[in-house]
Amino acid sequence: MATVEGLKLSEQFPRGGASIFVKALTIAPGQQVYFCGEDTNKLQVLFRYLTGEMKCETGTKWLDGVDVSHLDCRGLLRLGVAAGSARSRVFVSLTIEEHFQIRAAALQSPQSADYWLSRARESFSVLRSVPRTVCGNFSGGEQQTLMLALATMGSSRIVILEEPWTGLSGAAQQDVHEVFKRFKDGGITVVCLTQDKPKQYGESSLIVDLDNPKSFDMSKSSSVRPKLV
Amino acid sequence: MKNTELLREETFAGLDRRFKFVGIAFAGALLIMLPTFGVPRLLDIAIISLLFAVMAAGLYLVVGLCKLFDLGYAGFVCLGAYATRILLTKLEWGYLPAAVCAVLVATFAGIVLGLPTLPLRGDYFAIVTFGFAELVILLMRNWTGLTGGPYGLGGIPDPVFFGFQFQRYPPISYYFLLLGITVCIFAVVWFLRRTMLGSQMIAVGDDEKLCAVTGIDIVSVKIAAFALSAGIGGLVGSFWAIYFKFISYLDFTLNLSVQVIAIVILAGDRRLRSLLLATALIAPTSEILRTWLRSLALPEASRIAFFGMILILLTMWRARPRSADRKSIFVVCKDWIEKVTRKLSLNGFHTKTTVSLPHSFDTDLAVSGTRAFDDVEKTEPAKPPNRPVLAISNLHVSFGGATALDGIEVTLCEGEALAVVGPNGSGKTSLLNALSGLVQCDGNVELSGRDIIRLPSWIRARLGLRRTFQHPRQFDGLGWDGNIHLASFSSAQRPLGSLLKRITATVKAAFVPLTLSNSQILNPRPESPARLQLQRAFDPQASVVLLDEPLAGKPASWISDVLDRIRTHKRSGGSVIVVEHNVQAILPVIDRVLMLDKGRARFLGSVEDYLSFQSLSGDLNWQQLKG
Repeated sequence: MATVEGLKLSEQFPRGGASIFVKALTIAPGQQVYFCGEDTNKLQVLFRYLTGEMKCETGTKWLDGVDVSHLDCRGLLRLGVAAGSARSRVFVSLTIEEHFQIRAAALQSPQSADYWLSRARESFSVLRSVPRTVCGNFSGGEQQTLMLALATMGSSRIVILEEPWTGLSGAAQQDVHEVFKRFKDGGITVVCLTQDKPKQYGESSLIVDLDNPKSFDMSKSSSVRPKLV
Repeated sequence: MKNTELLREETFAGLDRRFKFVGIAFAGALLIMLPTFGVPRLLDIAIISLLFAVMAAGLYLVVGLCKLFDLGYAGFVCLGAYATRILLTKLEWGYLPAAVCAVLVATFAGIVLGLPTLPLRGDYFAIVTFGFAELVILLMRNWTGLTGGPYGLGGIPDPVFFGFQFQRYPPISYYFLLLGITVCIFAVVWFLRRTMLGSQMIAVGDDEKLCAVTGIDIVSVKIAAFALSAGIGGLVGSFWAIYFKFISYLDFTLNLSVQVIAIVILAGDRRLRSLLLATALIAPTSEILRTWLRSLALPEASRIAFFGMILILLTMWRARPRSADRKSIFVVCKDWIEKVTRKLSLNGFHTKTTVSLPHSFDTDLAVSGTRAFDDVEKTEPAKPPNRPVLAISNLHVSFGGATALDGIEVTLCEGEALAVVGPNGSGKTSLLNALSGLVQCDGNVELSGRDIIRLPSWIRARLGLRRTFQHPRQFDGLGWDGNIHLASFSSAQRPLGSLLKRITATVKAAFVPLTLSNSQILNPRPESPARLQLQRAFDPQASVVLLDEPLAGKPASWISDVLDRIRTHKRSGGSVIVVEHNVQAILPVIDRVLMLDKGRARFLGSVEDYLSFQSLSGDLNWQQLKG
């Protein structure tokens, strides 16, 4: 069970500011949460906060009853909170195998990098046909798929993704949805932050519209716009 | 509510101006009054600080604006100093012509060094400029007949200006001469920062790839920055020679360059006031430490150690992570003034303050984005394709042995929109990169009958080829208006010309003022960078616009905006190539479809044929698309 309480965020970007206020939000295991909104800044701020990339003025994050507000990306990753963003860059001078080796080491995974790579190739058709060169030669969509594969590898309990579908072809998007379905079955929570509303929702999806209303309280159904699909 | 916020902004703008004015007036008065304090060492420290301020202003053009890590700045100062000494004593010139000559020598050296090395960036550029500084030092050490070699050169006379004899002790006349030079140099740099050339320098520092597709002549801009910076270095060198009376190559080692770079880096942002503040912190510190440690009978090495520690602390302080609600000293002072003014019930001053926002172009249009397209009838059919505008034949691109594009052939006509579709890794973005000149390719590409395959990106942009990126790019240092203004200016320049014409155009750009206020430059509007790059691409001079996944991850309102822009561009005779996964969304505005697969053209034809092709191949739902 992951909870975010009394969260207030504000960040000054080079191109403007963004602020978000959340009173309380609780996410159950296996649930899929979609934060949707047209403001890229808001999405980025929320993503950076949830993944431990930035601290916020007030608010706390709880994971299974433990306060994890002070943890950074690495600490959260150790606790099973993985993240991936369309803005993330892959290491252009490394091969796909080297990426998986680094990630497996960071996760301290008992399985080998080859195991995870073969699983990723099963899940993402794009990765089956990528050239066997350094990732700098990959196309944007291939790099994004690799990023998604790295974010979803391991035994994470929560996977937080920013714009997971951006730049992916129809087939690759379908792969992502299949992975999400598998996660739901395995009780893994998926949190997506996206500008365009997803075309497919799982049964336990929770959609949070960041644009309307600006502040929302998940605990009071009358005052919130988010809906369960 | 909105009016209140506007009023508050206006009030702050007025306060900011007043605060700046008071600050400048106070600093100016202090600098003018300094000689009257009667402390010779203080005057000495002030002169050395001003020397560093001028050097920092020179290096600011290269390191601060263009983000080129120049480790050879001391070399230019050295050249200026030696040139002045030789002209003053051996040829017995006056100081003024000698100083002008020193500036020209350093500028020439800057251009000669810059021409072959400016295409380099990062570590390579730093190594080459460091090598240049070492070369100058070696030259001065070994050309004993001219430079005195290890013994250096002394006996430099006090200059005479229009009958006025400068006095070294006390150096009041030198102080005021250098103060005048400093004010002039900072005025020139301040003015340059507000011209088109200044914007181009910032743009080069921000994103060279975007510069190329915007039509900015990167090499000319860099050479201009390098030559100006070197010239200022030469001027500093000429003053150095007459003030210190003795010059040796040991004065112009890497230490000097590092100290000046430290000032520019500590300044952090691109504001001149930050540069002045950093100079005021670093330059006198070194000299004050020298005096203090000497009084304690500590060796010179201890000064360097102390100075190094102070530099580390200052840099750590400057680079510290800041919270979103941090307040600068200026904002704190403004808040305090506002508080005091309120207490005194004199808060009616804001009514006198007005904010003028001059516009060289319709910025409202730039913001709204869609306003210009409201009157377009969406149901109007596109003009039939006529004259070919872009002809691609036998186009090949490969990366590290992997083929990205293999024998692509397609012709785009005026007023036509071509959709490029295909799975990830099929070569769609590589096609746009090849057309815009960002990757090396083989084959033939003709734009309006002109072969452009060997032309660099910036010339292609000036010929009317514009593009957007999948992940939007922008010049962060310029803001919305600055980005649009720079793009429209650069792309409207002449596409080709000799080196002399290119240099002339670059010099002319230094006299094209930005019609934007400082606040607009420093406070970019919070609109999306995706909208900004779309606005930049669809300018009136664009003949072919290349769009890389413009709808990826965007809401429905955005999609209609993009489609309207494509329609309008087609109506004015322009052509569009759009790479997109969301084929269904762009079908209403496109005329033909090119489908790529593993770098090869799998299909090229009309939309109807494409839909039939897809229904046969089963890749897409035919009924869904037709509906």
